[in-house]
Amino acid sequence: MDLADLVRAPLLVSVALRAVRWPRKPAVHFAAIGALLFTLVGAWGGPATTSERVRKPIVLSASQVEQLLERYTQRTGLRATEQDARALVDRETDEDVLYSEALFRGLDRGDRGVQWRLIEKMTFLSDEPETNPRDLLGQAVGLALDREDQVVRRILIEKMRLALKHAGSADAPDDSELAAYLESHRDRFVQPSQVRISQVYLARERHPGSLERDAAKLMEELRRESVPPERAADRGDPFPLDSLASLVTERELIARFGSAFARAVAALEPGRWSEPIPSVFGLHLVFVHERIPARLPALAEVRGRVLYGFLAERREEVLAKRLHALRSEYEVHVEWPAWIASPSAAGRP
Amino acid sequence: MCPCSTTPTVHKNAARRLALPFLALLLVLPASLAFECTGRPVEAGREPCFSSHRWRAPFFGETHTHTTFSFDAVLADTRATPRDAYAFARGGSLDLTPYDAQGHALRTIQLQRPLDFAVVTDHSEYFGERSICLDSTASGYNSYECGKFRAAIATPPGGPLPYGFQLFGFPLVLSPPTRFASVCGPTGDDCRTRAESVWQEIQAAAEEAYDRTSACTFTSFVGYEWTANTNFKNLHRNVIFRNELVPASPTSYFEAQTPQQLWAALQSQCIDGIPGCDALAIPHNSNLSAGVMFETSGATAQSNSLRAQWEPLVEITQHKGESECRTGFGTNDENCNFEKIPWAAIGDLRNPNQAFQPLSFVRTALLQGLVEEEQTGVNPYRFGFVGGTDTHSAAPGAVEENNYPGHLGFAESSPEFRLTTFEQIPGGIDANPGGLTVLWAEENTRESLWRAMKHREAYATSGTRPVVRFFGGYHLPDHLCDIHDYAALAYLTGVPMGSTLPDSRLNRAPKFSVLALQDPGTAENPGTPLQQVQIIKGWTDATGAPHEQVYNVAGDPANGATVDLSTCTPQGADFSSLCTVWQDPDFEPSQRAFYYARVLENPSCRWSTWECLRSDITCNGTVPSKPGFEACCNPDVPKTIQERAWTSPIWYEPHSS
Repeated sequence: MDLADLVRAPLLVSVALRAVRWPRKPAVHFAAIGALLFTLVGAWGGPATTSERVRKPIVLSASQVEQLLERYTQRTGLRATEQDARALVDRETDEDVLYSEALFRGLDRGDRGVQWRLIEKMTFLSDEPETNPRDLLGQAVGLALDREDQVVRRILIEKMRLALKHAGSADAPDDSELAAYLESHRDRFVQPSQVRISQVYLARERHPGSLERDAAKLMEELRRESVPPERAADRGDPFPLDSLASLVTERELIARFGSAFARAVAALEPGRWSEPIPSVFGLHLVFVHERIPARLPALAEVRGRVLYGFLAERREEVLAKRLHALRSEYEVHVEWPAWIASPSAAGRP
Repeated sequence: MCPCSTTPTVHKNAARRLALPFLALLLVLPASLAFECTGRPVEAGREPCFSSHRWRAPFFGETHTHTTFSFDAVLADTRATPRDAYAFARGGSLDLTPYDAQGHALRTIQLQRPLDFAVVTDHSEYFGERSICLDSTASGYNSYECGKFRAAIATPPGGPLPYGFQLFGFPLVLSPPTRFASVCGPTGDDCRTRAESVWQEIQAAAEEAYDRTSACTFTSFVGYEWTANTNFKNLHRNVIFRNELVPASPTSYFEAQTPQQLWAALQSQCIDGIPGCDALAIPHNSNLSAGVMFETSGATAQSNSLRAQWEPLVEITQHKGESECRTGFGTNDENCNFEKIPWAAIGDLRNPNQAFQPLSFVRTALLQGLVEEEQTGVNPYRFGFVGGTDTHSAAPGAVEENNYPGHLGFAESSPEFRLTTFEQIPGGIDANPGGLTVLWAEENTRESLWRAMKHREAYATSGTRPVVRFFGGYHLPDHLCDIHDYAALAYLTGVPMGSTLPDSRLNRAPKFSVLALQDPGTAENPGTPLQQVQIIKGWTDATGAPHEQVYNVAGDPANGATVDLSTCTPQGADFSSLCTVWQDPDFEPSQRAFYYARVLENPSCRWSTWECLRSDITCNGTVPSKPGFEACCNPDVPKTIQERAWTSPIWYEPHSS
């Protein structure tokens, strides 16, 4: 008889006891036997609860599946589609696997959360108010109160999730990992391209009826005379924002003049006055001095942001990968309801 | 003390020459930040920006966002984190409720125009409780309260509030409140410890989002919302920190039950506790405070200056209504009739006995500030204006009327839900997409934006993006609007929004200039042209009694612009920009006064009209063609609105002899 058998013993005893329908004050009798066993187990310093010795198959019965679907409908008011049903079953299977694995690895052993829950439950059941917590725990184990208990189950699932997430992944990433992350998340870190422009602006309200004509004439003049573009603004109407004095991004152009204007500027040849470009404010003659292309900053410039993003994503990835690996250790049987075409064996390999 | 001027006195070479000694100084100063007297802030731990705007540029953002870390947002099944909210503000796609069984969001949203800055302000109350109630390994997980909390997640709107929501809402109306011992443990330590780690995650998300490179594309601030609902009166404040130096835990209603206690906590934990730490508090939804937000009975010079010191800004508009003014309550200004919530307090809704109080509104508070200054010598309500969403779907800046995703997560996740009349919390048909904050700053960095907030060089919009300048001064040239260096000359001859006019013996009426450019919009969502500019003046007379007057200073209030309601296309005359220099015709040198500008766009469709249009609703009398869309045929629901901007005021003080 090894330790695991000992652990299983209370379960067998309690099942047997329940089977014969003990006549009076069953809790007391259970408690006595449980306490005895608990003392025995305790003497070895072994598990307080009932760990598993082998990885047993995961079975989701038809009624369990129906229950999942019903709960979903209650919560969302929606009828689960076939796709929804598969996702629900998939998630439930994940949790069954996590729970079974937690028992297999003995994560329930000495878990204070589990013990606390069992003591609480036993306190409720026991009619001897003075029993000390240690005895109560023994009694609860004797009654197998930990099996089928949703709270214990949740505790162990989360514990297992954490174990998968964090085991062996605590090392700080090195620079090559961070550089790879930066490269694969370009969109989040890229510095936008910029353009330096000068403009001559003709206000819609100031040229009633002659806006296009005036703008065309001005364009001719600017192209003909070699006015330094930086000083050409005076030829037009005042545009009261200086935000174009320095480099601007496409986003800033969209914000000030609208997206059509920004697109038109993006298409301009540098070093030449443009045709009149319309915006809601009137017409603009634009001179592009230079363009600075978009660039991905060096890791050193954005290290803090990269590191945070890397760690946040890695935790989830590690969990998904390990959970996937873990599932292959388990045999999974799902009894699908008739309306769902039975997928390849068990929902997911 | 550094005698820094609020006017940009810009000599870039001088700034560079000063930079080296300043960096050296930084090494010996405990603070991580310093401020150059040239006006250009120096901020440690970041690169200088590529482009810096000498005469300041408008940066669009908002200061009021809730994520799944807020207890009420998680109850609305919002799952997006502060990290997701910042990614959204920067232009990324955001998942929205409802979620399918696979955990995939059934809706997503993306901003056509990303924000320049944003602040995640989750409710600091219940950081710990929320975390415990959702973590099955926590010892409080199985408490009665947590059970009710989880059962209340994703309740459809329309009916009574789920019990779990009421259970967690109730302590916030009590004074003093107590934490749930069964959730937090007998000492409350479990919740406090958890709250600290949530707070660290909020800080980390802000840090990740803040662009410290020279591109200066985005600025985040660390913040939270302090949520006092004492006796169902809304006293909420958003607390925003200047930089990454913040206290180890946020102050919640459990620690501080009055604004004064909140400021005291900020003083001891931030200002006195951490070198380089600085904070401000922004009151919001005074409209739901039953007049308590701006109550001043028993105020002294000392208490008034504390308020003025901590609260330079007020949120004038958001999801749960606009708070500028209410027609019939202290004013007959018809343009106050804009996005009003039909109740006077936050938890005493639609109570016919609950009369609206003039002091629930910002304009009255500005007037009350003048009265207080007469009486105590200090104006407690020298407010600049900001706008926000108060989104509980983690969607900062999702303010477009024709693409409104709802604010309250699952409870506003469908057109029918959004058009519902909410009975117990403000929302549904009475709510609106919320507004934006615009800060005039040299560059998009924390230091530069912080200066704008502290000095109130800020304006609020109802969600659109007009550019508005507002200056006051005795020497503003009359032809200011006709010259090429408007901003340069305006800064040289006047003071910008948020300032006080310089002391003057001229006995001459001050001049004001407003310049407004319409929101150009985007190809998919064109901007609406401008209709008119108004200046609102408030003053106290010789007896100390407050008065107000609205002046139409530019544009045409009778331009006859309308909206084709079958397509939501605006029609009629319009202005793409408006500019004027205006001198107060009724100026009286001995009277304290403030002036602020309000810019109105032409009428456009309200969000609810867009919803009805998209769902093809027709009305037979008040009966809609589809059930659930009753609001579409309710004549009391306005079809159109006039989007607007409110500039921070400029104050006038009589010459002190």
